Amino acid sequence: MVGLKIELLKIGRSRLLWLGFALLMAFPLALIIFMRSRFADKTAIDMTVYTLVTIVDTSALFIVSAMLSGLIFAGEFQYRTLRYILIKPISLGRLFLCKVCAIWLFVSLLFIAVITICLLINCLLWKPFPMHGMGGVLLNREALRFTLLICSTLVISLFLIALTTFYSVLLKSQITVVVLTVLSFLIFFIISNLSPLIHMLLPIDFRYNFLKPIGKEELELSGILLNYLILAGESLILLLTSFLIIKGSDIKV
Amino acid sequence: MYYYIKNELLKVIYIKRLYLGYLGGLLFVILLTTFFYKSPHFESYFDVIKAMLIHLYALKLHLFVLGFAAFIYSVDIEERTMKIIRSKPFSPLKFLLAKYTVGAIYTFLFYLTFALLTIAVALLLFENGDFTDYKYEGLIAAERGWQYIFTAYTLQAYVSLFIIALLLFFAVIFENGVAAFFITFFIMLGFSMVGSKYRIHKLLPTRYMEIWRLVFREEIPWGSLLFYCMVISCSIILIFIATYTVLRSKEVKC
Repeated sequence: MVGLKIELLKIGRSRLLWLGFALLMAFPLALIIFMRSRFADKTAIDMTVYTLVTIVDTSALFIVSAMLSGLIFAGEFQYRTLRYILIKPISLGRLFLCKVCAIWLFVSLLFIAVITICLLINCLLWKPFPMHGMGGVLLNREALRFTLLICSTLVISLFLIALTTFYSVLLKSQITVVVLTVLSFLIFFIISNLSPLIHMLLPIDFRYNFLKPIGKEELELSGILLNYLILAGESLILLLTSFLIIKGSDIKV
Repeated sequence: MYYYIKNELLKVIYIKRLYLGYLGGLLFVILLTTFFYKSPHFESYFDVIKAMLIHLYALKLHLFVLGFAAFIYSVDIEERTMKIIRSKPFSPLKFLLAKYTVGAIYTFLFYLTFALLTIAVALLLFENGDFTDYKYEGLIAAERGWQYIFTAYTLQAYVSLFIIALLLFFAVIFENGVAAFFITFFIMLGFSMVGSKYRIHKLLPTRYMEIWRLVFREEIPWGSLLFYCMVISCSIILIFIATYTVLRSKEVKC
């Protein structure tokens, strides 16, 4: 798809992407440099999971997701480039899909690159296996658990991208969209802790909804998959609403 | 100078997007008080008002201030008004001072609104009584409660100006509010993470931003508070000078 290629090029040439990569890479490097002696008894996979959790806990990846979505969606309104795109023979639906795919692809690639580099460095410094769970218990099916953790992060990112897209079509200002997405995410996080029902309906708490069931001795696969489905469904609703808003409005430039 | 400040204030008043920050603050107060209401650890309303300030910092709610600072600079880039401003006789010093002043006004207003909302909700739901110190160990008498609350909120708002200074510095360098927001957030995060684990924390400004740790003690250490504020003030002045130097050397991009 030509549209997807163009969107990928836009993100790839953005300074923000490389800034995001550099800052995300700072986490594993800082942990390795400062904490190496503290985690002498750990393994490479444990350290990589620890890095992943730190990246999620500090909302670093989610801010990068919001920033890239803001650049690609709200940026088009801000830099008045949307009208130039729409005079070309491309449908709004395809353009919208290309943008969402490009952002999610880049966020995924960025995150997987950071985690892979981290895992490789950790393998040089620690022994690779086994994986430890809650209370230091030994866990089986390490590869599956590790993949599930990465997928969980990416599904939350998808939800955040959908939220940023929604705000972008409403507000059309890059900085407002980024700030509002991050703040909404914090507020959603607080709301989701109010009751187990909200936790279930809004599964964005990485520790509660994903890390806990993955770190248990008995892997709760059905619960995790249900959370994926709920988040993907909510993202889809947000994206569809955004698309309908953008389709129903005139292009103002 | 008056013209610059008036201009900046008008921008802030007429751009409705900024009111979202206030709306977020309100929502945050309501949600967090609901939490506290369920918790057995909060009996006195002073406990709630104190905990709200701590959460404001711990839950990265200074993002409100950060977002505003990013906005007041990037609005001129987004709306293409920077080149219009610079087409007239332009004083970088006055321009920057106006941005800082508006940033400071917003920060104090934000903290004031936040404090008033918290106080209103806490007075409605909780009772008067002694409250715990910052470690939740010792007790502070309720008679002195308002003195503690006023000092903590005012000084916390003051030290938050450091965030504005840092963000404006990056915004001027990159000419991009989003990039500045992002870098400042990560720097603050990095400082907090490193500062909580290593002995270099005395060199990091984030240590001097955690003003509540000093205020909520049995006796307020006024000397240390003054020192903290001095460190933050010096950092702000240094960053301001650096920002001014960068802005002066910038060419106008159209």
